[in-house]
Amino acid sequence: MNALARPLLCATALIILAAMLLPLVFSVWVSFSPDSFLTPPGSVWSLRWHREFWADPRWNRALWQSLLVASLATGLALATGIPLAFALGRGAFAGSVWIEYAILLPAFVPPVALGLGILFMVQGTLWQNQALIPAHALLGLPMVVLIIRSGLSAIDPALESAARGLGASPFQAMRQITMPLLAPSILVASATVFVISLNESMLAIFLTHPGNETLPAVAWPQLRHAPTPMVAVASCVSVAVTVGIVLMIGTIRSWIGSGEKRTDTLASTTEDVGS
Amino acid sequence: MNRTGRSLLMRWCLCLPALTLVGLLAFVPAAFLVRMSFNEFAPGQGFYREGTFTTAHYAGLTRFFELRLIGFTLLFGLEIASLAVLLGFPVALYLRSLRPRWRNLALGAVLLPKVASTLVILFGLQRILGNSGPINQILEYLGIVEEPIQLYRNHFGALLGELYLVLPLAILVMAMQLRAVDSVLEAAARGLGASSWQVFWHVTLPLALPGIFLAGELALIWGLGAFLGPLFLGSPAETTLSLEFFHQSFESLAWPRGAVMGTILLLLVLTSLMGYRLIQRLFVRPA
Repeated sequence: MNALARPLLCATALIILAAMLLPLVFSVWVSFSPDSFLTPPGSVWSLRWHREFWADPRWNRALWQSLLVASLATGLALATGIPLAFALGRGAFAGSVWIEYAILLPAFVPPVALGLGILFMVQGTLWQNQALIPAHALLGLPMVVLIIRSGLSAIDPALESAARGLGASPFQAMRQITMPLLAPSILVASATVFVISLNESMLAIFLTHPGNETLPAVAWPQLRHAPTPMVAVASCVSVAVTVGIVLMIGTIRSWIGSGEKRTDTLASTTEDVGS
Repeated sequence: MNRTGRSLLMRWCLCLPALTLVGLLAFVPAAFLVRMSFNEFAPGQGFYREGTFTTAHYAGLTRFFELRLIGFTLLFGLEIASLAVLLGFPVALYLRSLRPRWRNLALGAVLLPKVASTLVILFGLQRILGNSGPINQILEYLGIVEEPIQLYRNHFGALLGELYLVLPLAILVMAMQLRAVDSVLEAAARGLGASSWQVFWHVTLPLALPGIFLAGELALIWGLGAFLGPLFLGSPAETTLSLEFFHQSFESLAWPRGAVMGTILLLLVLTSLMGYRLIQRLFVRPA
């Protein structure tokens, strides 16, 4: 880049980056307003709406429901994704290309078609109240496979062979050698799926009923018609939980992998996905 | 069975749980969707009549309304794809020029809107663009406008809202590709006397092209399926196939008619994808 282009690029990128973050910051800021006009607080900040949020049983239940769905979806995505990553991780085999395509497919289906297709399928069956959990696991599955696979590729297969050579059973080698080495990747994968599920709104809208709504499902009718400050508080809570999880994983990772230098979980997640 | 045969079988067994999940929650629902579009509509008595078969809902597709809907969805998808690439590429280039520590921080900032709830973003945008929002206040303060102007509930708002949901991953994909570009090649070109622009045009850009095309492809698919942006920040004029699918199924409770929209949407995504790949082949030679 020449002398003129370089500052121009820098300015453009920084403006876009700032614009990306602005709505997020604004939503959180509005939640501290003392009045109900949905404008950011001026000189007086207030926790009025935060108190009302925690006192309201509907929002409370939705928050716990969100956390429950996210935990179960994470478990399901890990339970299905880790074996698959192991199968794919040690080189290609007959049919492995098709398996990779099949795993990535859900990302190519418009979410409305996915959500309503699942609704058409489960409507009137015993599964209609639980469909959101496997649906979120489905969204998290490609992330689990990508992250665990790149984690596996970083582990020297000779270590496992050495353990086998020294008399360990395949199960022992897996439990005592491979799994501990893979733990950081599993942690990042579970955090990723948890956050995806927690903040997912489209499937949540189609697959929940008043009894089992998640946070986005409660927020969205208000957002469409007449938003209340409670939506701002819900935004604030979900941003806080998300950032909290990202920071927590970052800290735990830096404990585990004190040898590697990794500063930011988000960025290292993307590294894992990209490599 | 020999040893390789056993290992192949074991690998397929390891894949089985995940494949079951994908099959049950992606392939089977798609089949239900297509089947639903052939059911008879039963007004006033449930959502559809079971076990019926009719192609009547497809007969309406040649009407102006439906053709316009399909055309608009395609236009919207193309707009989102081009904007995501045009706005995302400078950011990806900029990320590449940063030191690792700052790059990670900036990547975090790019991805935060994606991992945070999309509804938070759309709520924030509604407030920022609203009549009493900061943009209108600044415009009024500067005397550019007399009274608040409408910044959303129009085409601009729908595009902007959807772009917030698509841009982070488009940037990520392009940044990944740019990182794989060997900077030694650029240094070599410069050493051989190329100007900065020549290096960019003849070395960096061609090597980044696969990432740019991939980002465009993903943005196109998501743009074609646009729902939340047009719903919260658009007007009825910005109705996409996704939105019409939702209106028919959830508000008119006409599931078969909604399913027709869904089926058309799936076909539109599929054909656009094939068309896109054809165009891509003219620019990038397959590896």
